[in-house]
Amino acid sequence: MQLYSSNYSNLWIRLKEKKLLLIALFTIVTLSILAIIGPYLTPFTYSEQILTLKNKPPGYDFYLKYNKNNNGTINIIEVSEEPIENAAGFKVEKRIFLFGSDALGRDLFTRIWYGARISLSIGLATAFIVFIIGSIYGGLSGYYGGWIDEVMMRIVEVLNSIPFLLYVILLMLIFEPGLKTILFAIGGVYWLPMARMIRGQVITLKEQDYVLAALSLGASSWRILFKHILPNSLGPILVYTTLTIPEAIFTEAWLSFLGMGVSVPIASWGSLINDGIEGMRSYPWQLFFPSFLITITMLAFNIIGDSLRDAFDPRFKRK
Amino acid sequence: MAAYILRRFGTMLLSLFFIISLTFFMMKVIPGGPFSSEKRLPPEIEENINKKYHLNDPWYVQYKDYLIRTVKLDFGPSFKYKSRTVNEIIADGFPVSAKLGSTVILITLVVGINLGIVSAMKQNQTQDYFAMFLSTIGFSTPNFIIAYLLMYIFAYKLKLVPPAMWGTWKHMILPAISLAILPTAVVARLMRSSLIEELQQDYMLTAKAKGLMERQIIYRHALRNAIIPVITYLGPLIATIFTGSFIIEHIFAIPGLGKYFVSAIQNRDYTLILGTTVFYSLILMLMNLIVDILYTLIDPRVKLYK
Amino acid sequence: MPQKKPSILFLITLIVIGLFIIGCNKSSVDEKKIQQITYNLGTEPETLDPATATGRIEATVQMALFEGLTRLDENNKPVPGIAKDWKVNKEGTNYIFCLRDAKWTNGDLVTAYDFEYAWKRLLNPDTGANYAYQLWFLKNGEEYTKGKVSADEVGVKALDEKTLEVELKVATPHFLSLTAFPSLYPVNKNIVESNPNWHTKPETFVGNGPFKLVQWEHNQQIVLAKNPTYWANEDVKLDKLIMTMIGEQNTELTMFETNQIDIAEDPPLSEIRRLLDEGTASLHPEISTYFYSFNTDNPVLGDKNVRRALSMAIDRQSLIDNIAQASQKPALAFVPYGIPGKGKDFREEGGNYFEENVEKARELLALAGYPNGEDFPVLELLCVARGNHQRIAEAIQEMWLKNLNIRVKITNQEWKVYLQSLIEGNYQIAIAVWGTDYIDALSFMDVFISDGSNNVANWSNKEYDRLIEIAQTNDDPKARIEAMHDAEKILIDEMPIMPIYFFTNVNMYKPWVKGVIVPVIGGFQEFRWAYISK
Repeated sequence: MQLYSSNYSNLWIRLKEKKLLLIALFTIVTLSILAIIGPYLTPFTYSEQILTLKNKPPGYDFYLKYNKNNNGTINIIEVSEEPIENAAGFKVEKRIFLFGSDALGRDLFTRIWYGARISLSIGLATAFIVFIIGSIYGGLSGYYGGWIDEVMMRIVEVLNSIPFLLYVILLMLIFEPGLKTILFAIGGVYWLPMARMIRGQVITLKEQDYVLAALSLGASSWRILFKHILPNSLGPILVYTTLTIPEAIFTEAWLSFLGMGVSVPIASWGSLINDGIEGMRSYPWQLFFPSFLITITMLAFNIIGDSLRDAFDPRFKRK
Repeated sequence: MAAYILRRFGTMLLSLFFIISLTFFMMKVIPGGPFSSEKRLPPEIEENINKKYHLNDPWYVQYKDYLIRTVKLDFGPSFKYKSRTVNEIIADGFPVSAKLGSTVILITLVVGINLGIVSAMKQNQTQDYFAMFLSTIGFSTPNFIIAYLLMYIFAYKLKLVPPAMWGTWKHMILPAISLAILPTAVVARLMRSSLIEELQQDYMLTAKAKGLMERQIIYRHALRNAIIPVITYLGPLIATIFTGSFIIEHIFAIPGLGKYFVSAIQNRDYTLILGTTVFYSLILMLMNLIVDILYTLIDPRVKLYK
Repeated sequence: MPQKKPSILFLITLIVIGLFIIGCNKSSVDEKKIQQITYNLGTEPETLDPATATGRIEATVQMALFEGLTRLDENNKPVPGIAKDWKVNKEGTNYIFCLRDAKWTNGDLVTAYDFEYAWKRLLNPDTGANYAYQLWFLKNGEEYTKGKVSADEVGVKALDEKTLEVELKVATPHFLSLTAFPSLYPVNKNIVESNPNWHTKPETFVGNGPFKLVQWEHNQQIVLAKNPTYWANEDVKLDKLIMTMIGEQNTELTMFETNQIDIAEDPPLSEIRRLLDEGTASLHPEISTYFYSFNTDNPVLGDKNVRRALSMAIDRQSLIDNIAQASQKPALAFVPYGIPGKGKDFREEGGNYFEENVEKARELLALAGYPNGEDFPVLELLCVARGNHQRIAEAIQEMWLKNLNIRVKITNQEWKVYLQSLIEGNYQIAIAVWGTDYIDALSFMDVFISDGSNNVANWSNKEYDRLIEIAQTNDDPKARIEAMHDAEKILIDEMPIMPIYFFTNVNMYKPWVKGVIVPVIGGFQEFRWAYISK
């Protein structure tokens, strides 16, 4: 009984059929490339402030006269909306805040792509951790059932009940505050609901006919679990995995709101949204750009998730 | 079944013991006490306060006191809100959060499940794309942004509803919508994906071959199995939503319980941390038990115990 | 199912129309004629018991519910409260207060015994009161809290129902203002002794102030009404006072702008400038200083030249204009404006003790062995994610980098972890704020004595200690102030702290709100003389 297609060329054809998927893949690739090179596309750095040009709208352009310090920072001599005359030893440039500037006169465009690195890595890493740990833990718990299930699920409940903040404060003390600790903190709890979700799937699926059939054919427990049961619950698993991406991004934002996120002046999409919320009446673009990008990213990830599910689905025989 | 439930209650008590112990030691290890403030007090005054609240006792005495309090379900006075007890705080806050929470769950179930069914039935058609687009926006936009936007549009600009505070049903509209959007979106997606899977199972194909009407098939057969992931998701969610959301209650100035899960820790309000944790974990474990029982009711083949 | 769609749409339309009608019907009634103010307190008070309450939130409610021997008027001068008049001896150490006929809300007479009882209760070690030290100016007050003497030896005594005698340790010029402070409010002895939880519910609450407690909906609102038993009740114009507990700044502003609340404080940072320009918000003095503390135990920061260089290399006015935006005053000294000196304002007498000068700062840094910032280690700046602390820190980080070529790393800590780090001296540079509970320069100057529990800079200077001791013990007001001026000069010259600015408060009042006083100590708003006028 061959339930799981090993014909990978066939799989690729199925993937290619979907225009929507291609658009989504293109979006993710573009976002990733921009996250890498975006901060270098502008003459600004993510931390460079021009305090007098705070909260400027998108597309604001101005002339800047400056000279360079030997540590790479610049001394701003003059800032003006009108062209400035140059003098020896100085540089004059026309610059533009493509996405506007923030409350400290920093270029939002640069900061957003810098933040994309942080947020995308938090989101993706968490999704990965959750997917792996959740599947294995939940799968084993549901498959073996009985007292093993009982113990494993009680452990999940205990870990789920301990106040998250308490645990994060503790982690920040044990490790240095920073991206790794945040990843550890978020990854450390987000697999819990995932494990329960998968266990719920496995509990019901393991009584299905094809599992019983595989069992009678002498397949090993691991093979049944990972080759038959888990692929069949891929739908909910992928939905849940994609869901953890924005949740992780916002948890980081929430932690930085409480003073435990990435340290300033480093930006993340979450912390940019926090900053944007405060000025949303007067400077809505500070909220709009990071929120919009998160939504776009999520839309793309969801489409990819759905397509993956369809592509891997053992019974997918449409068209 | 009765024996199983009894056994579950037994293990729940054991879990509770571990939860209390872990929480106790964690809150004792993290820096800062309930009475530390910007202005450090003269040491003698600090001493007097610690004596009054038994913070001078050795850790095992304090630990024992906490265990006894939990057994009696009487958590004592709050350290921060000196004129209230932890039990009073929970008794005041929980009904508010639960009232809002039940509205949220109702919206989630009705809208989420129906959206999921429509999507699954019309898979890869316009209705599906539209529903899934909506739900993706729902779960990629954080609820606090939705909350602020709703408040801005409906309370500030249109003046249709009060911006914040608690009282009439009108106060409940904006927070309920803000809170319901994410779970609704998730339920819709879970429903869609598991229903699609269910529709391709052999028994469904057989039923179709037998000529049963499509709608009947869905409700009688597929829905029952497809709803399992939704139920798994809703169990812990109900525990979380009924005990209140910190951020939404903060934004809409709702006197619920959600606030304390965060502020108790920020204030190092030891008794309140313990009280809220025990309360939450009891509800969570109860919900998980109900979910497990539901599995067996929905699919009689499922065996939880041997 | 397609036939269902129109019906759902129809339902939604109905609901929206319904809401619209309900929404429109309201607001046409003019409610502002009744004497009622809704003020956003912001958060739930911890307690209303004068002995154990500490913060300004609590004090705001208590000021409406109680009255002490005196009450502060709009110039922050003590005016007679429950005390009709008083006599002070020549040395300024003995006060005899003569009480007026005033009643508690339960009809009992407010007696001198109530005051004696309340004060001793505050000092009593078993009460565990944070603010017990507010009464350490009393003879034997400190000793009683520390368990060294009995209550009978404390320098407060009711001579009869209407006469209270107070003996101070040394002459304390601000003592009269202190008697207006919530910790020193009287409590009804009989009530407190018979019911220890008297202060938790409106039904059992007994006060003696201009308002009485009607309703306390936790985490939502406190409702107060004019107190008919208050001694000057015909002078109180407000009938009803509602204090809401909206903690979110954006929500608060929305509530204010939709006329749901009449008074709000502390609008979102990004809106401050607009609100001030529109005239919606107004500025009010606040006696507190924003500064960075240098840990002088650190080998690099142990060098006075480094500390001075860091302090001189930032542009305070730019921080205020661009980030804080509430017309704070740049701080080039430690004691803020608004505290009396020898004759004029203490700060104006003292003036500035240093100036911002990037060139000079670079020279000092070179002198310390770091020409052009070379080899200067990366220091850690300890910050918290509250208010504008982070933005100011980011701007200062950038200023140090540009002006001195010095890199610092900003580390955020959770609030209580941060407090612990300060106490343990486990930091290099840290943000800090110092405010006061009484109007005297000493409340700022005694922070940095060698063993001071709030001297988180771990700085020590013998001459400074000597001068502060003069200020603490000398009965001559002139000599005290003189000593503190000299001490402040030493403090700023040594620069264990880098002053940044003196705070202001940004408050918003609806135009029909009149007569509300913004006190500089105690609560945020004083409603005793408030009224509505359209």
